[in-house]
Amino acid sequence: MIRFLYQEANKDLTKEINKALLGDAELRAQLAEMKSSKKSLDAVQLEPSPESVLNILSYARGLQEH
Amino acid sequence: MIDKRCSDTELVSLYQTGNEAAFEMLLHRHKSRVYTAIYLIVKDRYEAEDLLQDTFIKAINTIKAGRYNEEGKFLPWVCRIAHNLAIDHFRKRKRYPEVTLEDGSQLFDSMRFAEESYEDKQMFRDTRSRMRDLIKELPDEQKQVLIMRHYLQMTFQEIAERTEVSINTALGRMRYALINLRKKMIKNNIAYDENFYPKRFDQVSIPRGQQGPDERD
Repeated sequence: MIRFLYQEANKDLTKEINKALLGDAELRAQLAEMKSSKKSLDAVQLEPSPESVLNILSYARGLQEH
Repeated sequence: MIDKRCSDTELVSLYQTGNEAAFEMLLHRHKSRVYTAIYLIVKDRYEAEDLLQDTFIKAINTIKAGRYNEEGKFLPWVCRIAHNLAIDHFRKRKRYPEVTLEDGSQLFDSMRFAEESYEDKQMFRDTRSRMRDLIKELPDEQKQVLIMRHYLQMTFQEIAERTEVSINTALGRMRYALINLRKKMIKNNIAYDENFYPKRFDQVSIPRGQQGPDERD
């Protein structure tokens, strides 16, 4: 299920889980809960400071000029 | 003007031919994820900022030297650079040794002990901050796998090799991490609102017939 959630399941496993999900409400509930947790992790997206971003871009441009 | 639908591979190629805007787009696509991963490891905003810059500078040098050969997997590659730099960072600091990874690093031990600054406490008071706190509360093994898979974009196979456990153990730890996180979210009344958080730039759609779990809803 975790491989499936993180899209590491191969075609056969994906097919198997998709089939199992159709007939198993408990499995669907489990997957929904894990999906919710996974999505919530995306909420923890921090932004670097504009200064850091500018420093990186300056370096990238500096190399381009040479 | 660069098409926003350009893949990472195309952007890298454009940058190699002198298109600065292509690199700028790459940076804006991935900076948050890489920075978040680094921050969750080092727990210090300033060190995370430095390591982020070091990570991208190393990536720039590699690309410009013509040594980039990751076949479109730009983000995992950059995340690996960030991870290695974070390991070096802790090696140099030599702090909080406890759990030793395959390469001898003590990367994740700091997470349990590092203290947050007053500034940090003031900075993140919203849901993100509460989520971050919940991640910190997870058992070390679960937290380690979660950061490596979700933020550093390592595969479970890579995580298993790196932490010297079986792949089933790595998968089990991730499963319990997500289950525990969900329980904590419910207990702390934290709800995920899809409308509030924008979709990631790096999410790639999968053709019909090969749908994974993210494409079901």
